[in-house]
Amino acid sequence: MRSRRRLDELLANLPANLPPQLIGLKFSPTLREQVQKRVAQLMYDQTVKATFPLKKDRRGILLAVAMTVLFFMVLSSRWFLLSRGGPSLVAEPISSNLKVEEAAWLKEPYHVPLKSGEDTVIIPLEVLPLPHGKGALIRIVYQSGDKEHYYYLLLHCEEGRAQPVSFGQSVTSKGFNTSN
Amino acid sequence: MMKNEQMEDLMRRFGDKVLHLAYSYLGDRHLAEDVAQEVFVRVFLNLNQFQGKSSLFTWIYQITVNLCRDHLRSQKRCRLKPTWEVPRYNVDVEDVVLTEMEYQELWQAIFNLPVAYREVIWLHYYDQLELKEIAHILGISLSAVKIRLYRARQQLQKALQEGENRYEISQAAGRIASQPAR
Repeated sequence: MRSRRRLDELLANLPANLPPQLIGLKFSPTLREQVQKRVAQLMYDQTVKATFPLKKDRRGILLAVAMTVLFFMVLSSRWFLLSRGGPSLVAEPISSNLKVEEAAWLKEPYHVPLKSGEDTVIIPLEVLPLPHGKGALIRIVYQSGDKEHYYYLLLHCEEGRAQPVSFGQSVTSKGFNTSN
Repeated sequence: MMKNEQMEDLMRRFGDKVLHLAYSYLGDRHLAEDVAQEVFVRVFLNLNQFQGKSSLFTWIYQITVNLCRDHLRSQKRCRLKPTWEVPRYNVDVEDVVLTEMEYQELWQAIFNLPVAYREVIWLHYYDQLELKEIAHILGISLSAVKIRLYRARQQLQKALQEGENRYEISQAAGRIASQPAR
């Protein structure tokens, strides 16, 4: 019967007796070379990552840039729409202030019945430059209280000033009723 | 960053040890080579994180053990079946003395141990590490190492005893078979 002492002896000399399964199993030069290559590749990848943001971040930046470009495109197209034909002096205040209260150039000289106060809102819907480039037709919505009224305003630009030429009621999305 | 010469030196010093330890877990040469490579890649990439609380060798062994355990978990092979690779070399049976046969038997018994026992036997007897060091590498307490060693030795003794009994039975059967029929 194999004694405990014999097992101790065998275990004590274990390092000197390589298991048959491990004979010939070496961390060869090929393996070492492969490790070197992998490390070099990973270090390169890390350098690239450090130089350029991650793909995810890049996508975010690209998206942000695209959104910014889109924003400026929309802005410029709107500006182009408003400024095309020249009446920028008129169009600019409208575009920059969607909420216009007590606009004097709308009230005079036609005495447009705009109510003064916080419930008065005039929103430009569309700016159509006139063919000769010295005027514009502006569709607006005039909100008084709960009711909305549609109007059109014909402006004429001369010597840097915009003069209302005509102001019409019952302007709808289907067409203008110019009878005033 | 570590220079190529330093990396080479480190691999030369610890490469075989790491490879053998990986094999003791995985029981497959190719897998052991893959894991050993991964160990050194991680060592080189994370060397700046090595805090020097233990020896470099202990740290490398810790990485090896963790990678092997991960691999075993992923393979759901917490206990290797006794289908270890047959050595590629040819053993001349006539030259194998009794002690060598005993060692072959012992190694087979070690490889058949559950991982938890095999790893402490390997680290303590084959790599001759101190119990404290083993506890650090395996991430277990010192008392847990002692208990595992004790139980591992019990299992080894039992396995060897069973082997010896089988041998004696086969010897007796051989003697009976060789006796002339009356």
